[in-house]
Amino acid sequence: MLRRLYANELLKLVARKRSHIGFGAFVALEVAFLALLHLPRVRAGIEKLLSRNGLPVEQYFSGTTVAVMIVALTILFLGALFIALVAGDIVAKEAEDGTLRMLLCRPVSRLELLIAKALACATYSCALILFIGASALAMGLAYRGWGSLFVFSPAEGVFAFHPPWPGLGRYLLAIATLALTTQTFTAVGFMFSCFNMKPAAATILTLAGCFIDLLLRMTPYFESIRDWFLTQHMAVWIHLFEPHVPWARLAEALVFLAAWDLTFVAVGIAHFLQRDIRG
Amino acid sequence: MIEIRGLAKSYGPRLAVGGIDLVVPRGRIFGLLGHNGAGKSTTIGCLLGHLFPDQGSIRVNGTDALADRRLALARVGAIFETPAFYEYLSGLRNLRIFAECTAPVPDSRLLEVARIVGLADRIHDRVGRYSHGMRQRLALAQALLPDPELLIVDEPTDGLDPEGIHEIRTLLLHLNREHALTILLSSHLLSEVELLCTDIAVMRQGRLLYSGPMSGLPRTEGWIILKTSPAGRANELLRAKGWLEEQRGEDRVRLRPGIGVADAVAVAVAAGLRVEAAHPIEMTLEEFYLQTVHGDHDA
Repeated sequence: MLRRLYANELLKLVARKRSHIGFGAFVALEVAFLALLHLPRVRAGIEKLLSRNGLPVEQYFSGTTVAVMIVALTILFLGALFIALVAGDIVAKEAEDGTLRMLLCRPVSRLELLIAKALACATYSCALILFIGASALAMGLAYRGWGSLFVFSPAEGVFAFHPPWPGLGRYLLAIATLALTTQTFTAVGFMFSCFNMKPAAATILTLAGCFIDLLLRMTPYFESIRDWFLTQHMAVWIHLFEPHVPWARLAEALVFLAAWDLTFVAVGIAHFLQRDIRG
Repeated sequence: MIEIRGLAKSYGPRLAVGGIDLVVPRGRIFGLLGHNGAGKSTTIGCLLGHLFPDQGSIRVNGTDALADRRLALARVGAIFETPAFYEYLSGLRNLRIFAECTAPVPDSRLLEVARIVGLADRIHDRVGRYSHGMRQRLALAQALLPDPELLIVDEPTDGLDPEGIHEIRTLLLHLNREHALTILLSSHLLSEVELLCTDIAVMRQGRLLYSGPMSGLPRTEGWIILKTSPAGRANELLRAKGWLEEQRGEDRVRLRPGIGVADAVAVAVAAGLRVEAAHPIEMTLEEFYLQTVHGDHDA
């Protein structure tokens, strides 16, 4: 039963236009980013940064370097937005439209239905992140070609450069990690969607929660408790580019996020299981 | 088929259903009547597991629907006043999604049901392009897919044109007669209920005022038509004998309990009057409903 419900949830996600907006928006954003990189001033800035650090521009201003820049600059804002849109809709929109009531006329358990929906959301988030990673890489390679990888993230304290193939390996691993860490957006969106609220409210609350978390983390006053913020752990993917990968930190971040993800999903499900569904 | 005992449900301080007992016998078409807010939808919501009752028990086909909802609803279909579908999917895909919440259904069965409800030509179209009548048919199709023994229908003919109403009514009657389907129908259209139902229940403000077969409705309440020539003379004679309790117009009278039409006719004939018509007045369902609801209200 769960497998059938999951397949149907995926089918509904694929068939809805809204689900595709995220994919289209990222392609548009990537094109815009490449156009921005083409501006002489921006190019000069990157070239200056590389040469100042003794790195050959032609070698390190490569497709993988551009791909990492695209992902790093877009994922938190647009990724959060589109994942929150889908996760916030997954239960609340069906409750609003009345299809949930139709589904629950059937001998299907609420728990199974919600698990299927949560899994479908998680699948969508993974697919979106992997698509972003793949399309950013494809665009980067088309624009700058094959070469070594250079990563510079002052906020996370990462400065690294890698030969082409190891660099690509790091990039793929980072995208896979990102697909896991962004599940927190999914879990928060899903939780709000299970409450008795409009789908737009669930999306807005998810985004608001994530941005408040980010802003507080960035506030110097809270520096001593940074490890309590979700976005701190969500940013762990960038550390995969460090010369020596901090595996313990990576594992800690993933476990921390997984615990919260399960908590958010459990809170949403627990509320929904007690909730009256009214027409 | 359905046995509800002591069902109570409140929304905060507002009592929606106040401890009702209701039995829907197998193979009947049972009409649930009541104004808005009477508690019909709450009762149906509790029955389908959409709402959690505060008290009471619900058994469907012998199974406790609150304890084992899955088994209780295994062969139950439901249609709502405004059926909701996935607008961006075809009718067939919608049917499959809803049907698969019960059990996998082969395409041939989906198409067969689409044909039964008259949607075969448009079943591959997106539901967003369907008219209201087509949505009602699709709702009926999805309700028929679990091969139900019990069909719960909330305002099935709402918004349909007269031809559509006739078709749905004919189909429901066919399903009841040929497939022994039990139907629980909630409706505001008393004329439809009168044409369809074998049993009714009347609810008001969460209480059950009447439940029983249509044939057992107390429809006469002592009122008769007594038309004589010369007009009105018989009424004077009945009043003089103390048999007449109430009079409306020249020929509608309510006789004292125990006095029948034959007694009234005998008085008229004995007085040499010509009796042109004499028979009990049968209340319409509408009259019965209003009297039940308002009588309770007045009480």
